[in-house]
Amino acid sequence: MGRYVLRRSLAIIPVLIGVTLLVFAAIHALPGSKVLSIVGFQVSPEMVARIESYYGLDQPMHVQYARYMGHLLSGDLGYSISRKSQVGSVLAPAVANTAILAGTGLVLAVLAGLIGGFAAAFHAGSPVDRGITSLMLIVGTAPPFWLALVLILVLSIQLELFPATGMYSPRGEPNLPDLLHHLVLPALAVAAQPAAIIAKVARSAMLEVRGAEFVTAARAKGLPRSRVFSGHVLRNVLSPIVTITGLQLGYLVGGVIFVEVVFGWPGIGFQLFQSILARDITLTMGASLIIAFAFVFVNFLADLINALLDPRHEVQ
Amino acid sequence: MVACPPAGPAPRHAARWRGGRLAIWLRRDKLAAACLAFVLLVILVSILAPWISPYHPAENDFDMRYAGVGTPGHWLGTDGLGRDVLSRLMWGGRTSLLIGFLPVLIATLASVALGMIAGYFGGLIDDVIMRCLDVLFAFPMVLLALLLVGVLGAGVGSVVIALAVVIVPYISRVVRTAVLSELAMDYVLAARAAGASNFELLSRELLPNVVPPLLAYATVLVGIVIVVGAGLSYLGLGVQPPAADWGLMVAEGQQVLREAPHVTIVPGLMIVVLAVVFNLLGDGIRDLLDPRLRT
Repeated sequence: MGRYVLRRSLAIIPVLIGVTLLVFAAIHALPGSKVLSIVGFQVSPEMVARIESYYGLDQPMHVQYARYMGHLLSGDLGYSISRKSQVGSVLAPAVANTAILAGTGLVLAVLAGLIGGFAAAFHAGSPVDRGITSLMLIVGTAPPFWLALVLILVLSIQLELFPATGMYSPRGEPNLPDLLHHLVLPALAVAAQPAAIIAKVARSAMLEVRGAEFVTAARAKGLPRSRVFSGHVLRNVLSPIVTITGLQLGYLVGGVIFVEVVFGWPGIGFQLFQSILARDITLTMGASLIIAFAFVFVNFLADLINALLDPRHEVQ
Repeated sequence: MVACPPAGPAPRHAARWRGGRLAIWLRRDKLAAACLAFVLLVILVSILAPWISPYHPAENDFDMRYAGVGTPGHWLGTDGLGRDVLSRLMWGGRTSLLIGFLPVLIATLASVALGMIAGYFGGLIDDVIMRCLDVLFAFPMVLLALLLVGVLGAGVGSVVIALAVVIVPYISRVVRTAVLSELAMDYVLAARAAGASNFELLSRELLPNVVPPLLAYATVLVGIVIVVGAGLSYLGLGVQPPAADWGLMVAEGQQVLREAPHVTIVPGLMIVVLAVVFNLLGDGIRDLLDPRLRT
């Protein structure tokens, strides 16, 4: 296990370096003057030269990259022009806000996905199964931003149960009940798509394992149903579900970007969107890197958990 | 099988596309037939939109603003500017389909080349290609698309390029795996023994066997790409107003969500239905090509 962890950890290093290279190259391939996007208005050529040398933009690309990486490794993401503040201090609270939203969304997605998927598997072929499967197909395919708007329309505008935007009420002290009240709709919107896919995988995994020979054997030995379920069925069902959940967390991050924009949730996706509109290079880079790193890390964690659950993974 | 002369391609899957096979499939798989009919209908309506749409998509009638679904003359209602939602839906199909099909087509061409080269030549070439794709895999689909459109600037062209790049790693990986499994087949060995060059092997032996199974995957991807592309338009980074596009219509509807919810609901439903239909059609094609995988 130790060697597997080490090998997997080493394997993500080149990927992370590649991610920084790609983001850096993409941003610096931007057409148009960097200086213009930094100061926001036309300045004299002498001024352009001064600004370029101040930000190191007159240096060759690899020198600029090395400089950026040096700063990155010391935890410095640069200065955001549009926010007049350090990128790190803009994004730190955003990461926390997204973690709250994505974490809640993931818990909801796993719960709904497992319950839906297992319910469908236990009633395979019945109207219950068909109903759940169809619902999941539609919910899983629908664009998250549209689902978010439908939730707002029904639960906020028509039934007036939950607020439609923001993280806290504009008036009064921020407190937990207020946060939870604001969290419900975005979390549901974030959870919908992953829930559908987890349900699909849970259903087929459950169907497969329940029909497997080792389950028949365990039953034949006379083990009580609960023992068979907890000791034999569940353990084997979990492995594919963990894999897909890890992957889903990645897609969930994609959905979060839209949901945050719709609900005005001040998370990393919202900041990324704002930075792209403002053409704020450093902020866009910082937000993209954080999201991509988180995505890589989550998939890494899912692999590790899988290796723990199913030692056969180590060999692959 | 080893003794077979390698004359001509080895059309294991290709033969299935000839003759009445398609008709038989459509008659047996009612769901796939319905999905195919729906897709064709949407394509037809989109192409004919300039001639059959009741109004021009940008024509606004301020007296008829916020008309609900079922209003005579505006059967799907009007939006906040008094524009006919049905007409905009028809015109919007043009960009939505373009954004769905074109990136998948471009990405498939690029991925077939990449995946076949990686799988066939192996070694260093394979390593380099696959490590590059690993980097693309490290980005959630939406993030990469957003980043690329941010760099390229808003517009339909940027969206098409961005979405094509985003799905290349997914298709390439499928192609590479297919090539690796085909390489172990006897017909490849036979062609090699008969002295086929690398190019002949790739183009005449492997290509006909690798591409048809991709069709199912590409079909599912069209649905996904339509959803992501609509998202980019929704964010204001794709199709620009006053053009009609389903994602853009959802965004415009959001402004009048309280007064006229149908402006948001209708185009959104259209995206969902089309994406689901492509998903089901992809399943149908997969079953057609490989009935063993039937679920």
